[in-house]
Amino acid sequence: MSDCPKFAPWLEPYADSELGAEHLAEMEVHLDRCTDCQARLNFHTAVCVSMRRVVRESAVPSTDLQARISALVAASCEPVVPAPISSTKARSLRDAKAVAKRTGLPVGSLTWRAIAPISAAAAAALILGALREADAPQRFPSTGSARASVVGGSDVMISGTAGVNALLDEFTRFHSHPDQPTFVEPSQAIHLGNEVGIPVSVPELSPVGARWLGGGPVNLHHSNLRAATLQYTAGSHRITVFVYDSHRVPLRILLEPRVARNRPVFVGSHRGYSVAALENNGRGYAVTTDLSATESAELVASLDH
Amino acid sequence: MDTVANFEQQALSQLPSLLSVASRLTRNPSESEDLVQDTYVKALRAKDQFQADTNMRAWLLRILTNTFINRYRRGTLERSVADRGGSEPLLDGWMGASSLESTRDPEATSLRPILEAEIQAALASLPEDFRLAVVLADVEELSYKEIADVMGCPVGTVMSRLFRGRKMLKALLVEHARDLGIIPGHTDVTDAAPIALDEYRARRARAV
Repeated sequence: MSDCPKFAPWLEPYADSELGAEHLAEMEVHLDRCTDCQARLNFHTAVCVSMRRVVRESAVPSTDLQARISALVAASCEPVVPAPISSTKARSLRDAKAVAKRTGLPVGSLTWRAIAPISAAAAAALILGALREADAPQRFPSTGSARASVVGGSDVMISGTAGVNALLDEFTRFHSHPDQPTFVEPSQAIHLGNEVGIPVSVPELSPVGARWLGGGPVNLHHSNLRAATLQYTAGSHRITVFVYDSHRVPLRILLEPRVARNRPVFVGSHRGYSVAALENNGRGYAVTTDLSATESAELVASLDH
Repeated sequence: MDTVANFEQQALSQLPSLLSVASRLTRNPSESEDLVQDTYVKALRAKDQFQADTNMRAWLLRILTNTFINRYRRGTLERSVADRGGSEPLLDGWMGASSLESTRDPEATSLRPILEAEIQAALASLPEDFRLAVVLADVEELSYKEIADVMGCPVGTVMSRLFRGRKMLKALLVEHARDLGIIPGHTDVTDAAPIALDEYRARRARAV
């Protein structure tokens, strides 16, 4: 068509939805009549669509990257518990420096990728040490890093891996031998807020196939704190959701960061059950199930909406 | 859900987009991941500066691009293309009208995939700022204005880079497209109707 050159520079802005309104109608009339320009537009679209597909499919975030980014994001969501974590970080940094010294690399040149495994190894060593300390007979007063500590009267904070480990014990023990629910009417959950220290409501899990049974409080003997327990069933599986103050009970320090439903969650297994936690500005939700860790992560990520 | 939590969740959901763009900038998986991680560190530190009513993806991509320029490229972005003959005739991947045949099923044809290897190679061969403009427009589907914000240049420069990048891509892919039947018949891409970019800009300016 003889007037094609006039429309040539409009074709891509048209395809990008950027062509000015003053040219739009004229362009569409031309496209309607001109099979050559239709073919040009087709070729343009084919290139764009193919490129979009290729680029997106060839750059899928690895599990490792997802975990690193979700840990970063989670860390910025909520301040991490003070003493033991900072000592872990300090120790891992010292370890990183020691490695740097051995390898001759300046510590400043170590990338995240290099430091992360070192930090993880140092953290694992600390956790093992703390667990051994907790398991050992108490011949000496326990150190602050391995027990629940009382900070300022009622402001109780679980400040150690052993303390959090003991709480995971309590959560999974409750899940395996649950108390009889004290209420079944979901609206009554609100009354647990005072005891738990954060608002409590019953999440609707029917979209994921879970049926509500009932809920009640649970005393966390290790810490003198209370959590709310919400019980569900999904087929032959039982699901217990714990609602707790994650400023005081930071379960995440013993769980692995992961992304589920585009949300940062923390998962692990404890005494044969999978545990997944979502901790967000002091609101903590933990799910214990006999499902897989991935399924528990999906479940917990569907809460708090 | 409060605003702060929304920020974190929205930021996290942009991970695939950031990695897509990073992978086209660095062309090295390890560097891409480090670039993405550095971007998140900076973005989370600067989250107070994010305006809730703006496009978070574009905001994060601007941080990513700046991080790339500052850390990985040491400020050489402007060297390659920015002033490469702005008044040169613009071909826009223009194919000769006489050589194009009509297509009976445009939708099916447009969605027919061009081979992955050819796309990868063609994209990798583009100059960096052309490639970035093309990826931001065609993969991330940002507007010209958003791309200008991300790349820190005027909208006219974005259009120039985009048109030139696409022109090069199409020149590299036209034979494959013809083999696949996306462009029926023989096509001579040199048989073009040159249009000056300046003329187009002037026309746009008059219209506005």
